[in-house]
Amino acid sequence: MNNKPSLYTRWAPSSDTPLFTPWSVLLLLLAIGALAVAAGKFIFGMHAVDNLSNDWPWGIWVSFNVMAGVALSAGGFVTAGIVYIFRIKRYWPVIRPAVFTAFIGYVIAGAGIAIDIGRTPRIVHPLWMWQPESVMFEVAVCMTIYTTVLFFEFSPLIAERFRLRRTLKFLHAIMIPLIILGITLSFMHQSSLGAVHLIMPHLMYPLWYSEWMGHMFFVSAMALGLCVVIIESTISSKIFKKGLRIDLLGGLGKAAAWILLAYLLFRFWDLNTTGRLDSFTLDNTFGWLFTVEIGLMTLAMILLFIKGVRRSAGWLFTASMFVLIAVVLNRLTTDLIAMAPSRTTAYVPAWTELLFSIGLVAGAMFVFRVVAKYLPLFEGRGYGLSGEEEKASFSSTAETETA
Amino acid sequence: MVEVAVLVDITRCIGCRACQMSCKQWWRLEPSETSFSPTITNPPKRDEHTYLNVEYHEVIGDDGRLSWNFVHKRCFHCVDPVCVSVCPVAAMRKTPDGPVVWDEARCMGCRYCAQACPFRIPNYQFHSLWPEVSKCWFCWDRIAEGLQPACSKACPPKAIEFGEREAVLAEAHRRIEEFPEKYVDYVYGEKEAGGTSLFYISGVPFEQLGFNMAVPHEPLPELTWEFLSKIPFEAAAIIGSMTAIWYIRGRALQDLPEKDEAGHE
Ligand code: SF4
Ligand code: SF4
Ligand code: SF4
Repeated sequence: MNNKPSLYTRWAPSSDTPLFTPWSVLLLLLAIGALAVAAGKFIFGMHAVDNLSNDWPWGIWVSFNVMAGVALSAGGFVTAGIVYIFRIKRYWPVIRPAVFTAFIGYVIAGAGIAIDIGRTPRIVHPLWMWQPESVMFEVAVCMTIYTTVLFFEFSPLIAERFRLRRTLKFLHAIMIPLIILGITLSFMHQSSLGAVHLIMPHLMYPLWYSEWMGHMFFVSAMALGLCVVIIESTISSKIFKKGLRIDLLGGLGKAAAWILLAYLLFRFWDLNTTGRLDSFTLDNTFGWLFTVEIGLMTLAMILLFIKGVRRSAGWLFTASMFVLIAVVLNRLTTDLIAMAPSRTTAYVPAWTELLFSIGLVAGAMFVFRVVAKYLPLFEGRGYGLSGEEEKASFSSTAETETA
Repeated sequence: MVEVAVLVDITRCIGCRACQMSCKQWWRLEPSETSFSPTITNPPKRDEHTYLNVEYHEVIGDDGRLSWNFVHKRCFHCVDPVCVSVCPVAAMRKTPDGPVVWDEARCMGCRYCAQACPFRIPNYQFHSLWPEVSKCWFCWDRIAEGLQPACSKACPPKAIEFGEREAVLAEAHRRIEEFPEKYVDYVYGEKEAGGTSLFYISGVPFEQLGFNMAVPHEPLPELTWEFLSKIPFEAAAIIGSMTAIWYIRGRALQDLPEKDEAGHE
C-alpha cells in the first residue's frame, strides 16, 4: 500500500481505526439530537423548535446551515479544478476527501433547508415550478444538480471498493466534463447565495451590502474551501494516524492566501468607492463584527504568505481556522445580524435550533468516519488520470516520501 | 382590465377600525391576541391573522400642538413587487389589475418573500403545521367581481378610496395642491420601490407615522436582475476557459512531463 499516492506519508489502513470512540459516540448522539429536532418540527410545527417570527423570518438555519454550510463545502470544486483542469497532479491525493466532504456538506445543507421551510415535502417544487427571476430558484436548482455531480465525482470510491471495472471506466470517461460542470454550477450557486441579499439594500447594515456581493461570496468561498481541506486533512491524519503531506497542504494554503488578498482588495475597493465604509464605527456592534471578520482574514492571509507557517502543520491549521471563523462570521452577519437595523425585536436562536445545526455537522463528521473506514477514501488509484499520469504521480509521491 | 389602486387620506381617518373589522370578516380570519398599548393601536401588530391594522400615532408638531393620527397599514401591492420576484416557485403573482396574490398550491414556505419585502409586509403562520403566507390580498376576488375591497367599502369618512390607479394618484396630487396648508407635499407610495398601488397623503410628516423613508425609489427586482442576467455569459466564460485550460495544460504535460513532475512547492 505504501507506493500509492496519498495525502499522508505514514500509512495505517483506515480500517484499523475503531468506529466508536467516546468522541465519535458524542457525534452520533448530537446527530440523533438533530433528528429529534426535525421530528419535533414535523409533529409540533416550526414554532415548537425555532424562535422565528414575522420580524425574523430567517434564522440560523438559513444563515448557518445553508449560507455557511455551502461555503464550507467549496473545497470540492476548488481542488477538482486544481487537479483535473489545471492538471497540477501532485494535488490529487487531496481530491477524494475534499470531494466527499463537499458532498456531505451539500447533503446536510439540503437537509437543513428542507427542515427549515414551512412545507418540507415541497422542497422539490423548484424543480418544475420555475421562476428564473428569483435567485433562490437558481440556488435551489444548481445545488440539486451539483449535489448529483458531486456524487458522481466521488463515486469511483464505491466502484473501486466493489471492483466495478466497467463503471469505473465510464466514470473515468465522463470525469472532465463533470468537473467543468461542477465548477460552473458552483460559481452559479455560491455567488447566488450572496445575491439573495441584493434586493434588500435598505434593510441591511451597509458594511455587508454590495452590488458585487454575489461575486464576493464566490471568492471568499474558494478561500474557505481550501482551508477546510487543510483542516479536514489535519484532523484526519490524527484520527487515522497518518503522517501529513505538509507540502501539499502548504501549497493549498498559499493559494488561499492569494485568494484572500484578492477578496480583501475587492471588498475594500467596493466599500470605498460606494462610500459604505463611512458607516464603519467602533461605537456599535457592527463595527466590531467587521473588525473581527476582516482582522481574522487579514491575519490569516499574512500567516499563509509566510513560508514557515506553511511548513508547520500546527500553524497551517491555525491560519485555516481563522479563515473558517471569519468566513462563517461573514455569512452569519450578512444573512442575519446585519438585518437587525430593520427589525423591531431581537432574535435569539432556540436551543433546538442550535442543536439541529450542530447535530447536522456532527452527523456529517460521523458519516465521514464511516466512509473513511469502509471505502478507499485516502487510498485508491488516480481516477480521471491517464495511465502515465497516474504512474508519474506515484513516482512523485515516492520522491517526496524519500526526501 | 384597468389597474386599480387605493388612496388613503390619513387626515380623513377617524380611527374607527371598520376597515380592520371588515377585512377580518371578509377573509374569515381568526382573532389575534390583543394587548394594551400606549397608543391604543390594537392589535399592536399585523400578524398571521391580521392583514390590516390601524396604527395610532401621537405626533407633536412644530407648533407644539398634539395631533392624533390613524394610519391604515397593509400590503402596498407594488407595481414591480419584490415578493413576486424573489419567490423561487412563482407562488406570488401580480395580477394584471393590480393585486399581488399567492398560490397555496405552489408555496413551499421558504419565507424569502417575508424576508425581502421592502415594507416587511408578508407574515407567516409559524404556529401551523401547514403554514400559509399571510398579507392583504387586495380582495382580488371582490375586485374580479367588480366590487371594491371590503375595507374601503366599510370606511365611513371615505379615508380609503378605491379606483383606477391613474385617477386615484391624480386625486392625491389634486388634494395636496388644493389644500397645501392641510397636507405634507408628498404622496407616499408613488415612488417607493418603483411605485405601489397604495397612496398615502398626510397632514404630518411620514417619518413620524412609522413609514420607512429609506425604501429606494427604484424597482428593487432590477438589482437582482442585473446580477442574474449576467449569469449565462459568466457561466459560458467559465466553461470556455476551464475547457481551454484543461486542453492547454494537457498539451503542456505531454511536452514536458518531467518538469511538471518535479512537483514541489
Ligand atoms: S408591499 Fe411587500 S408584500 Fe406587498 S406587494 Fe410589495 S413587496 Fe409584495
Ligand atoms: S414563502 Fe412561499 S410565497 Fe413566500 S417566497 Fe417562499 S415559496 Fe414564495
Ligand atoms: S383590500 Fe381586502 S384584504 Fe386588503 S386590507 Fe382591505 S379588506 Fe383586507
